[in-house]
Amino acid sequence: MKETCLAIILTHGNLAGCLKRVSERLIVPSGEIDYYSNKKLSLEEIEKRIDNKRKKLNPQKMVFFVDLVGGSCWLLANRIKKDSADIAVIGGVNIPMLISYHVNFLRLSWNELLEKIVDDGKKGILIR
Amino acid sequence: MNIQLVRIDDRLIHGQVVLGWARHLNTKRIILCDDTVASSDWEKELYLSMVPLDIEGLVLSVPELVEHIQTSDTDLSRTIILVNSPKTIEKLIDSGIALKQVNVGGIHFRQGRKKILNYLYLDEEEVQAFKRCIEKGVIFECQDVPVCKSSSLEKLL
Repeated sequence: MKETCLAIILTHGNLAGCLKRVSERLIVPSGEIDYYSNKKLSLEEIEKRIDNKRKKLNPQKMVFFVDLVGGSCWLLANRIKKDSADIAVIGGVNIPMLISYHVNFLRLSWNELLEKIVDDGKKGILIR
Repeated sequence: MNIQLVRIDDRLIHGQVVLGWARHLNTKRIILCDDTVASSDWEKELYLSMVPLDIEGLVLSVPELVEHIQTSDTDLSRTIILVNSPKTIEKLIDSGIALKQVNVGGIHFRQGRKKILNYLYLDEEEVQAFKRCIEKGVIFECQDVPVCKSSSLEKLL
């Protein structure tokens, strides 16, 4: 991807930080992923902090990884996205998705990257 | 007035409400009462998209909810009413809605708020709004999810 991108993991409890740490021990990160927990912070406080980060970095694209579709993190990410095609919200975040983001970030276009992340996330869920 | 649950939660409709409380109470209807959300079709749609298909979702402003309660003969015994602040509770009481017990489910940290519980942070205006409601006879029980014990807010303020 040629564009600059701000990637954010946004989850319940301590999950966001754990996902980030685990994924970045498995693969060399292609860029920084920011993370936020809704455990203590109000949604408006998280939104304010993300907004400050966005103003500082001025990214062309943003991707949110959230844990639960329909949860408060999902709601906040979608509120920030609103109608923007440059912001994507991906629900059901797992480790394969984050690894996919790092592996494919430089080699795929924005839309290809998003599809690949979701595909790889699904591939990481199996029953034997 | 027999309302199943009146809850203060600054996240309004979210997992704790739809997965925790609504399933636990076998709720049939969730009414989100908020003037800001009610004035935006986009926000309304976003919140209502989070309500499970087997539960009816409604977004009403404070005057609309007051009218709904006072004029409608709808049974509210399986309805959760959600607001995001004690100030909305105060507005409802001052509009003639008799609320006896209110669940305090979560008001989270932002600048200027002090910690009361892990899920409850309040600024001075909010504390005063709670106190005025308590003086008017409202009992506030703090309990974020059904599996946790509740505690009286009055004792914590």
